[in-house]
Amino acid sequence: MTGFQKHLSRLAAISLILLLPASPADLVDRAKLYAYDLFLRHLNQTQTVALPSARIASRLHFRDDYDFPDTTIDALIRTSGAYVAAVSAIDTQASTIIGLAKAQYRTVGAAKGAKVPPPPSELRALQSQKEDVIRSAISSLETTLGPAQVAYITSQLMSHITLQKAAAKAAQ
Amino acid sequence: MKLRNHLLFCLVVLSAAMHAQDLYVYSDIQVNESTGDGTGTFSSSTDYNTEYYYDLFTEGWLYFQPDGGSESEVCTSWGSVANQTYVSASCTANVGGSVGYFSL
Repeated sequence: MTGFQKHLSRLAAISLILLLPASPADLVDRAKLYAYDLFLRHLNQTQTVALPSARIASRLHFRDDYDFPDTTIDALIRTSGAYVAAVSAIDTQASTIIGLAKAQYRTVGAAKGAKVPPPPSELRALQSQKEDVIRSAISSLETTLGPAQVAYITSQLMSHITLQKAAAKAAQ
Repeated sequence: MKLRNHLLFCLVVLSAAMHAQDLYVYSDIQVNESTGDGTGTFSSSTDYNTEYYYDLFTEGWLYFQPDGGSESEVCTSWGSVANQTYVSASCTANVGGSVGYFSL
């Protein structure tokens, strides 16, 4: 059983136990999107550091510990740069909306004892745009490297991803 | 000197959750055998609706267990950003010529 299949089994079992509203397939798809989101951002960070030795060490890490060939690392680095540029623009829009809305409900709303209003509808649209950007990045990798290599990348990334509930103390 | 690392995979679900309030965490260990450095990276991402309700925060700990010895924390790091859905933190520890395992 591959690492990805083990992860799939874990997600499926937990979702059944907890009667999650999302299907196992939805959870796995979502976990895959976040795996690429997090990895591509991380990779971009490692490749934009000032020291060439750090960039080289990072490449060696992905080659030796992830078993990624050089062609795969090159494609991932190119994709990570384009991905971060594209997703940052969406993040900036969302951050502005979230900041204004939080300021509103944490000050004005809290003073009146009102419940937190639902999230602004624009956030859902921006989230959808962001997920399209992630899917586009994965699709680009499939075009460059082929589906089999991308499946291997996915299995490696999934072994570095954990899912947690946003269960910390509520913001308000 | 020979250093090895392994990543302890742990799936944590604290309570039943709709996916709109999920938090995904990426963790990684990079070991430099020539210097004895181990670097742990912890980054978290969530969706915009979740960030509307919560403030994203990530914290991680890097452990080292020498062969024949007991595991101990060697460094920790945390990060927090306002109104962002991605945050990353990392820490580096040097274990000299010790042989053993890093874990997060």
